[in-house]
Amino acid sequence: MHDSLKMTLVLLIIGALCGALLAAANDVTAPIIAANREAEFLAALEGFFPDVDSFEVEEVGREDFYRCYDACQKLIGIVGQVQADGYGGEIDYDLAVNTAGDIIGMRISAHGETPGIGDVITKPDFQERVIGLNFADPIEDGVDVDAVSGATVSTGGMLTSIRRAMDIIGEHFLEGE
Amino acid sequence: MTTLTQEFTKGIVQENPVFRLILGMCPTLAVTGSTLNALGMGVSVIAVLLCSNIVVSAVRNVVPAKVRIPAYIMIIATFVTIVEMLLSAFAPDLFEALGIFIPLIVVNCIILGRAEAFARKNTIGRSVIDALGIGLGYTLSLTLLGVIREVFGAGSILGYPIMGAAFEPMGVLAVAPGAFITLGILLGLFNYLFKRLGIE
Repeated sequence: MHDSLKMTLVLLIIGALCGALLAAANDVTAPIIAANREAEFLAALEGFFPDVDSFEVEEVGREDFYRCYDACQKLIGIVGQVQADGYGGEIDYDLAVNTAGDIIGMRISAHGETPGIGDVITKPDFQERVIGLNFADPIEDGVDVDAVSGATVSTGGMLTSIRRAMDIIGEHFLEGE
Repeated sequence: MTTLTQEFTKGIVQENPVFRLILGMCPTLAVTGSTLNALGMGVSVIAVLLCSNIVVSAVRNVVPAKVRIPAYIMIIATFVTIVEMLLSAFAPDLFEALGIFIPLIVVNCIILGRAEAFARKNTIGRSVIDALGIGLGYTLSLTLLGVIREVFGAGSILGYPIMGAAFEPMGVLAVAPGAFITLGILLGLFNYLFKRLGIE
């Protein structure tokens, strides 16, 4: 009895100390990590739309969409910070669409796909299949764009999510503009 | 009783984790595609190994033998997570390149191996020396693999081209099969050398 009590207590104390240490480390690094992500996103935004001068955010569902304006306050495109269901959890990515409804760029910002297999979604070969498609296109696996064999869950999930994001962008942001 | 110098150098030569103990092979094969990634991985392992050896050695008389493994895993996982957070905050490019292999340091058998085989039976001072020796041995081995694979697989070192324009990179060395081939050749070479020099 005394033995098992001691074991439990020791593990409890080590666990508590480890937890406290992690909380402290997280407190220090979380704001820096968030700032890094923000800076990366802004750099990507300028990569998609070099003329971007200002933007405003609108939340649709749980995802953020950025209306991008040029110096004359004219809408030049939409960037969605959206999520897809991948093989290794959620894939966070940015999808850039111009006012004509064409996909002009995408950037995977965080993912847990298998290195060497599912991470083709980050490679130009896959991204070029998507870039140039219009929101009036079907954007459906096997119809006008193909998933990558061996990585069908990752790439198929991306295609489903892109279709959904295009529907939101088309309905909420582009119609009537 | 071995001297401290012997304790330190054994990690680099006689008990080199990669070429003698054949431990920690997964990251060894996976992240040595370039010199920088290999160095980054090595330094991360040194940081985790040093911290875990110190703590494991410090609590060696407190932790009951029956629950020592879960206790070690908790301690190691904490330090790995801290290294992961620090890399993500201060070296995001390296963090991106090392990816899944940073959290996997938790199950790197070198770290748990040193806790179990050394730190729990030795003083803090000796455990520090042991961690530095083994960690440096691991880093040097990874870097050697990284340099060979980057020079012949990409014609560059730390990203700078060094082989001239006429050099045709051997692409196979930059991908996974190249890691096995390079490691195999080096292992054979070191085994031969150690036999010749009579080091066991």
